[in-house]
Amino acid sequence: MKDRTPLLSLRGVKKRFDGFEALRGIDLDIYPGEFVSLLGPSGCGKTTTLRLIAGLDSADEGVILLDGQDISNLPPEKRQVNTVFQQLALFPHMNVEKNVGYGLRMRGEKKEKIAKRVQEMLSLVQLSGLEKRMPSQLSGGQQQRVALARALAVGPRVLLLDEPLSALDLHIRRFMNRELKRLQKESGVTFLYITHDQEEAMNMSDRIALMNAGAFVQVGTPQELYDAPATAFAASFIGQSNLLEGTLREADGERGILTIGNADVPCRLRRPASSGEKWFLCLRPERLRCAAAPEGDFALPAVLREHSFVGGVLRSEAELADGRLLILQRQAEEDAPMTPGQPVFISWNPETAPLVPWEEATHEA
Amino acid sequence: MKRNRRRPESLSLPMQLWMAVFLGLALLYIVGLSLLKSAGDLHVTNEITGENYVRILSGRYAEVLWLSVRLAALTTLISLALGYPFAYIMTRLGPRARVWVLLLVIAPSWTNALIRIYGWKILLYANGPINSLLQTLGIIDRPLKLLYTEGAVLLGMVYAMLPFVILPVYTGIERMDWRRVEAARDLGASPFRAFLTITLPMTLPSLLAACVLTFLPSVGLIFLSDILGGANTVLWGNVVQDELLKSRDLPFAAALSAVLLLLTLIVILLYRRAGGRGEEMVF
Repeated sequence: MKDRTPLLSLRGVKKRFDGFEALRGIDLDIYPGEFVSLLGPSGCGKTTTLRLIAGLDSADEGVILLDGQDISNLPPEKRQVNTVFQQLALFPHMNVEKNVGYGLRMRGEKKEKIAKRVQEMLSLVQLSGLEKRMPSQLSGGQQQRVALARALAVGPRVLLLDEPLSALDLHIRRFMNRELKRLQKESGVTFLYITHDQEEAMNMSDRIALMNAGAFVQVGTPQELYDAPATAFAASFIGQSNLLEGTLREADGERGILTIGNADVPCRLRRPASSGEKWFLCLRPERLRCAAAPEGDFALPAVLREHSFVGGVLRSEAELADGRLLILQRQAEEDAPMTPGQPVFISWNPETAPLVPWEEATHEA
Repeated sequence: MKRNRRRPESLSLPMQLWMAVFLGLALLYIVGLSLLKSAGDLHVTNEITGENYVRILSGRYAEVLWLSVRLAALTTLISLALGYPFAYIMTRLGPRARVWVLLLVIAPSWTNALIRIYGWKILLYANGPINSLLQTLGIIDRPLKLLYTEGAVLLGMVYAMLPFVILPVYTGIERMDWRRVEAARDLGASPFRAFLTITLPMTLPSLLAACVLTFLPSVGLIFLSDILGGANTVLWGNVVQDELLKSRDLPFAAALSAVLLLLTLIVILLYRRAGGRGEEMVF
């Protein structure tokens, strides 16, 4: 995907609001046909980024390129990107048909062409037959589809979606996630999707651009972000993780030994590191093994604390010798029953436990 | 758009009662009065007759009504043309500036309307400030006849009615969701087309309310045409006043009022049909 030329590029984009630095110089390349999510907590600058791309606000510094053309100074109506707004912003005085056809009418298309395109769009979002309904007569999910159809009808190069599902309840939201993915594949349009819901982002995206405090933390595939989080923030925002602070005792090429408390554990070094440095070891709950007796090369002794069933899996907490808590996740029926208070030994495959740069204060997602 | 906000009807009962007694009964009294025969000097006989209305149809009253309606319509149009852009710009101002401008719109109404109209009269005199200025600048040789013209009455009416356009329209635009305008721009509408297709239709209820609030009082205004129009501009309200205070013909004045009442009713029915709702009129 990366060998193609990017469709949309942000270069050193900065934006301030009343002295508050909303975007601190961001760079991003989006390739044709990609589904990219901007993921981050609220207030991290996701929506600002989107408004700059749409042309609803202007950047203080930096350029935005669409197909290699600088569009930074074009008004929104001249940019070949369209937006599905968080509050949908359907036109209340127009029926479904008029809403969907709005962009085409503004472009001065012929009536027959508009009617045909509207029908295409409505069947794409599965709303055929509701042409004459007013937005107020539609359910939340249906309004969603109208907003999508309206933005897609114009044939945008990039479709920007600003948390369009946040008003829907979880059940419909997960359904709409699959729908959106289907729509994206069928239409072949490049999607830039904004969300603060990491599960949503993981489900749908080809790549995720993780944001925090006006800057990108990490940009990569969901798998990359999960397996090799770039920072403690990334590790805790994407999925669940246990971050254990340790000091690198030995570093030899890709192999290293990390001292956690008074235990030495082997680790894989994916980036340059030298002995004596502090690192976080990122342990995903479902990748931890928990046994009554030590097995394999190493194991951390712990005491099992609490249990809870979450669907088919069992989540438990284990307390390490130094009092730190680890979250574990196991298949409920898999292991021999263990009871709280029981001493256990925690181990893992060092290949699946990435090191994350240590920082003073860790963020909690 | 057509949301049905249901409130318990019984809550408005005291107000409805008040309206029924002080407004409904009073209006019925006028209509009843208009069907009686005059005994002169504000007295009536108890003979029921329709001749007051026949008299309205036969005389020069159609002409007066036409002038009144025409002036009121012109007042409404001009007030809208001035008031809408004004209100629109007001909503785009910063919060502090907005308060000051709002104050400037409302402040004149703290002075009696009559006094303000006399102020206009002074400005419009043949040897008043406007004529002197134009003469000093050499634009005119002789003073223009500004006062006692239809134009002067129109000017006064627009002046008096402008706040009744600005305030409801301002509230209407203020309440509008600007994100919809952004959505229109995003979909390819130029600022002007976004205004025509989104802003204007979405603020139409407030615009209609402004029309009613301007048109109806304009038809019935008396003192404005008296002071600024003199004997040259006789409006419906002046006729009613004359019949009542000069001819002292109570039933005929009542019949003339009933015509105005009917006109009001028609305008409100039109307003309703155009989709206007009473609650937009409250600001």
